[in-house]
Amino acid sequence: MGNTLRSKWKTYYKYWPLMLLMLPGLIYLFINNYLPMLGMFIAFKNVNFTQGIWGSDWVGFKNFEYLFKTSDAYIITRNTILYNAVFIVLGTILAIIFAILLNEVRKKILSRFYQSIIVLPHLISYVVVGYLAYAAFSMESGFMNKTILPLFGIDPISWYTEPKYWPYILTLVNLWKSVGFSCIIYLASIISIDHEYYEAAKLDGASKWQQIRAITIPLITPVIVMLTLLSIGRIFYSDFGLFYQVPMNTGMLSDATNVIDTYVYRSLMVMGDIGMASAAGVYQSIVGFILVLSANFIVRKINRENALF
Amino acid sequence: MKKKASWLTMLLATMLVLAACSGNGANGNNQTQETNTGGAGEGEKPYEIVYAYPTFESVPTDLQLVQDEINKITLEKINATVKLLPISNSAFTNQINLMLSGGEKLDAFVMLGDYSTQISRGALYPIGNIMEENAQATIDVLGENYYNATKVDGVSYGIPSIRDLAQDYGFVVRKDLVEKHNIDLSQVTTFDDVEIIFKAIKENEPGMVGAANLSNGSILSTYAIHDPLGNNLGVLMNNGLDNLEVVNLFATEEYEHILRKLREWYVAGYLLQDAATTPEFTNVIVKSGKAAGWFSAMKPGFEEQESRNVGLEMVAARTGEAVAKTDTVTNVALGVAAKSENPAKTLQFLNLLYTDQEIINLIDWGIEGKHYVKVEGSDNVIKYPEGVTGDNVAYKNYSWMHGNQFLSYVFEGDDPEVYKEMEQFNKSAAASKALGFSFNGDELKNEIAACNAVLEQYRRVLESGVVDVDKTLPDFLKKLEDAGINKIIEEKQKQLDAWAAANGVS
Repeated sequence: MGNTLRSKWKTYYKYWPLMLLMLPGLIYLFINNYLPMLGMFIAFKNVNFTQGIWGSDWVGFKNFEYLFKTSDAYIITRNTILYNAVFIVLGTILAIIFAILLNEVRKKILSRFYQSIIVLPHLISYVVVGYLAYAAFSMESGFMNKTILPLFGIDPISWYTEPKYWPYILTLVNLWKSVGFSCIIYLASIISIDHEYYEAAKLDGASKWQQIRAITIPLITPVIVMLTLLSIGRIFYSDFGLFYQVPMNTGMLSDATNVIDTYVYRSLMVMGDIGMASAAGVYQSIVGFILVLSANFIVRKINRENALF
Repeated sequence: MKKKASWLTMLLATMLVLAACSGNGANGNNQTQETNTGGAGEGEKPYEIVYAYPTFESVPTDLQLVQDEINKITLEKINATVKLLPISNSAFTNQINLMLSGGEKLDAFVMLGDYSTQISRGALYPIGNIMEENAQATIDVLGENYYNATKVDGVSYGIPSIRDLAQDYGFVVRKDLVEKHNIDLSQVTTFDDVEIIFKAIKENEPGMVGAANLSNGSILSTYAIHDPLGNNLGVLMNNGLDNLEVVNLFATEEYEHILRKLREWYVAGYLLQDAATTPEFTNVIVKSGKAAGWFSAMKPGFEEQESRNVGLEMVAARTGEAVAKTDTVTNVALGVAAKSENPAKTLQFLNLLYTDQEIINLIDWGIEGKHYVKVEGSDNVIKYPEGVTGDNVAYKNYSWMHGNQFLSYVFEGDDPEVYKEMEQFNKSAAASKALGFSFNGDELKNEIAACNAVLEQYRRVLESGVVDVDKTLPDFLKKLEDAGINKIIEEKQKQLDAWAAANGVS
């Protein structure tokens, strides 16, 4: 034990210039990700500026109560987790499909063009996306009601008052916006696969489909696992822009669109209570932390190599 | 060699960008020092007062010039300098919270509708304790009644700006339509009567509806039949004129009646079909001819103000008398920060905002001859100098925000007597029985948060007529009860009774 430790130090010593290069990153991480964690205590305080933040009264778990107070608590939790689960599953599958397809495009200029087009939605702010959706679904002048539905002889639908359509709309918008970015990550790892594998497979007479199944997918599995684990860590956070801006903050749709972040926003918008807002953040991070740990644990049980830690 | 140079350039560029990011702060410090050394004429060093207020446009370019002019007066009168700190309204509350919690220097700030929240957060200095010595003149111009409305547990924490302190309610509509279709506005005296206008519009103006919703709100966003007692959760009906019984507004017959009327109007096509979702501003909707008018809270001069906002002449039908409530008084208030190093001096500055016509007009309109000129033959009506318009004027501010609006000049086009009328309006307005009562919801924060989320969910759709009342209202009430509205009402009644007993109100 002592020996290994010493040899470890030796390596550190030997490569000290490289270690030094790591330092700025570590400091950055410490300042940005670890120091703010001290602020968690605010969630247990009744913040009062006269007493100062440290001097404010401790209130235990009182700041957390409002998260469970409403009869919607179940709906909010369900929506948050289910939507994110769907996004993770569909998003991953679609992104991989697109990545493989893009990889097959042989004309360089076309491939570049498709890549740019597919990432473009990722760069558009959700406020703008909200208006794009509004242009499609507005009651009086929307593209759906004015152009698409009449083609099929269907009567106009009042989209913004019917919750039943929104799980599909939101999923569609989310995929449209997020698939491009993860697709690029998968594409990068596919490109780095050694071509000899494919050549060998071709010699053995493997079809395209077989090549994908036997070479591409297994070789990018670590990347898939990592990206999925990371998104599981954020499964209890919801994309505020997606659930607030895209449905235009319509109360009638709340059964389908209310998630933790929008609930916290709606309840604290008037009061602006710092302690209660922090409580929501702490709650989300702790659940996310537990989920990442357990997902990683399961992955490790199945295949040690693929686990993150 | 060449490669090295490009690396260096890049490093330099990065540093420049980073330096620019922190630029503002550094400038601010320089200014502080200048002003500090500049004015130390007398023995005592002049105190610098940092005064933050929300702004709805970008920071005016001539801010520093105006500030220097103001400082000339304040140095002489109270041996202090002022640093004006306009902050974009959308970020204002956050910024103030950060400044307070981060211990940044802040002495006075404006509150738009969050007076009681700031008190419960301990953000405000209890100026009531030092008011008489430092700002008696302010109490005098404000009037004892309105001053008392700011007291919480017997102490005042802020001063309302002197503007329209009461509100009346009604419907504002395009004048040309009223004349064209011979609509008799004198017949419109209740909420239901507005139907007269809607009918005429519907019959004669294809493609136009009667009423628009308020920007990002419902049709009823500012129209009120009740005294909200701080947060609309537990209210006094009939604008608080009748009694001190706290009730759930949303469960009352009056509210249901209004909702049913709105639904009826919606189905009849008198209201915007997408009123619950449209992101457009009210004045834009009316200007573009999609709606004829809207329901609103009002004040003297309201028609002129909205005519300017819409760009078309507007007239109003009022459906109720003017009432003053705690909320209408403390809606816009000025307070001293709890951590101010010199609350007395800061209060003396606020006192100037209520009594010194020169300072008020500097802060409201800028420098005479540069940002405005007086209209010939008048001493209180002003206009832009030649070549200057509302779009390119280098200094802009809001007279209803900074202290005493009644000492502010009137802009050309407004009634020169508007502030006299407003003063009369304030004096003659009826008062809610609970005027002066402030609810302290600290113990029920969880219930209030949960109820607010429910209101956010249901009010806009219900109050736009978009949904069926029979189906949605019971859901709404059920969720409010689950969220604990009855507990809030009970506590509010208890506090109101105690307040009434202490103040001899019955």
